[in-house]
Amino acid sequence: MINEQVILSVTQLNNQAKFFLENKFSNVWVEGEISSLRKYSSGHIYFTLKDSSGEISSVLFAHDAQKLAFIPENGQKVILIGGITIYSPRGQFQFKVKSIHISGRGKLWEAYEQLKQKLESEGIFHPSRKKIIPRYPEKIGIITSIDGAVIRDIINIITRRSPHIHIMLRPSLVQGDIAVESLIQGIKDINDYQSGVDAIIIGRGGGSMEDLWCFNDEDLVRAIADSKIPIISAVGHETDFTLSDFASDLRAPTPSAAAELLSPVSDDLYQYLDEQEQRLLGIVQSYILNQHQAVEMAILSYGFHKPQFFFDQEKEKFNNVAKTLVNSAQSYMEKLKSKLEIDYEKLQVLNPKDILKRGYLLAFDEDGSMISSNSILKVDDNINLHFSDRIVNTTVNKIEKK
Amino acid sequence: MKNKEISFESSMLSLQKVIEKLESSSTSLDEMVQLYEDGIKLTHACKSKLNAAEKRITTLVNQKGELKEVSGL
Repeated sequence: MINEQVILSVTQLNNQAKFFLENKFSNVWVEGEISSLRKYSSGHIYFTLKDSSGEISSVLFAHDAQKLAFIPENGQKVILIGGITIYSPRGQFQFKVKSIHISGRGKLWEAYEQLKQKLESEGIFHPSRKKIIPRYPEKIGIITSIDGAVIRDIINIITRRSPHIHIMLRPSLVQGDIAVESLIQGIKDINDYQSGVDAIIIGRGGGSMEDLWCFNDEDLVRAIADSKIPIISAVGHETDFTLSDFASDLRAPTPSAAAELLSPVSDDLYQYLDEQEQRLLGIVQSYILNQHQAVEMAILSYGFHKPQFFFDQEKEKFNNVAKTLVNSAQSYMEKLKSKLEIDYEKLQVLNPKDILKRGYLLAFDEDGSMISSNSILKVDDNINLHFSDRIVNTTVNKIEKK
Repeated sequence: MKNKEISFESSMLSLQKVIEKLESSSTSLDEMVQLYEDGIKLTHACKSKLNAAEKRITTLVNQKGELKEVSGL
C-alpha cells in the first residue's frame, strides 16, 4: 500500500487543494465582521473576516476593490461574495472577494452602541460632569505604556514647550483585556497619591479598532468619569472615538495634541507676565499723570490764577446796581419837583395878598395875629386893618351879635 | 500629601483680577498702590516658578499597594 502511495510535492498538494476548493466553493456568500484591514499601494485590500468563533483571511484585489460603492473598514459587518482559494506560495487558505455588501453593523459595534446609550442615559458623558482642564498645570500625570513612541512624544513636547512642568508617568498596559484593569488602577493610583497632579493624560497610539477596544470598557469609562483629577483622553488617531473619549473631561485627537493642550509655551508665559507688569505700571503712571494734570488745570484755572477777575465782575455788578439806584432816585426827585411846582401854582391862587388887591381887607390884633371869625374880641381892643395899600389902626367900639 | 504653595494657575487668575480691578478706575491712591504691589508680586511669583524649572520626570510605582514616586522613567 505504501509503495503504491503517490508522493506529492508541497506545490502539487497546494495546487490540487486549490483546484478542489475553487471548484467546490466558487460562488459563496459569507457573513462576518471585517478586522485587521490593510490597504496596499497596489490597491489590493487584505483583511480578516470573523465571527464569534472563527476567522478567515480575505483578499480583495485592486480591480474588484475599485468597483465597491463604499470603503471597507474594521468592525463593519459585511457579506462577502467570492470563493475560496489557496495562496500556493504560503499554503494560505483564503477567501478571494469579488464584491462586498454591508449587512448592518458588527456585533462589537452593537455592544458599543448599547453601552454608549446606557452610559449616556446615566449622564456619564454629560458636559456638566466635566471638570475644568487647568490652563497652567504644574504637574501632569501620564497613564500610558512605558514602551513605544507615545510617552516619548509627550515628554518631548512638554519639556520643549513647558520646561517648568513636572511629568509623572504611571506606566500601564494599553492593549487587550488585561489593559483595562491596569488603566483603572493607574487612574486610582494617581488620585490616591495626591502628589499635586493638575491633570492626567490617558491614552495610547494608533492601532486597529480591536487594539483600542479596551478603552470602550464600561469599568474604565466609569473610572475616568469618577476621577477627581481632570482627565484628557488621547486614544489612537484623530478618527477613533472610544467611550473613554466621551467620558473624559477633554478628548484630544492624539496623544501629542493632549500634550500640547496642557503645555503653554513658557516663553509666551514670560512674555505675557512682562506685558502684565508693563500694564500695571502703565495704569499707575497714567493715574499719576491724570492727577498731576488735574492739579495743573486747577492752578491754571481763572479762579486760581486771576481772583481779580471775580472781583472785577462783582464790582461791575455793584456799579450797575448803584447806577440804577441813582437813576431811579433822580427820576423820583424830578417827579417830586414838578409836583411841587404844580402845587405852588395852586397856592398862588389862594394868596391873601391877591385877595387884598381885589378890594378886601384883613384884620390883625395887637400881637399881629390874624383875626378870624372865631377870634375873641373885646370892646376897646386895638386892631389893625390891612388894606392892599395902607394899614388903619382902630378901636373896637361895640360888639353886636348877628 | 504634599503641601503646595499658591499654584501657578491661581497666581495667574489673581493677577488677572488685580488688573481688572485696577482698570475699573474707581480706586483710591492707597488702594492703587496696594494693587500694583500685589500684581508685581504675582508676576514675580509666576516667573520664579518658570525659572525654577529643571527637567523633572518621575514614575509612579505601585509596589504591592504602596505608591512611590521615583525619578526618571
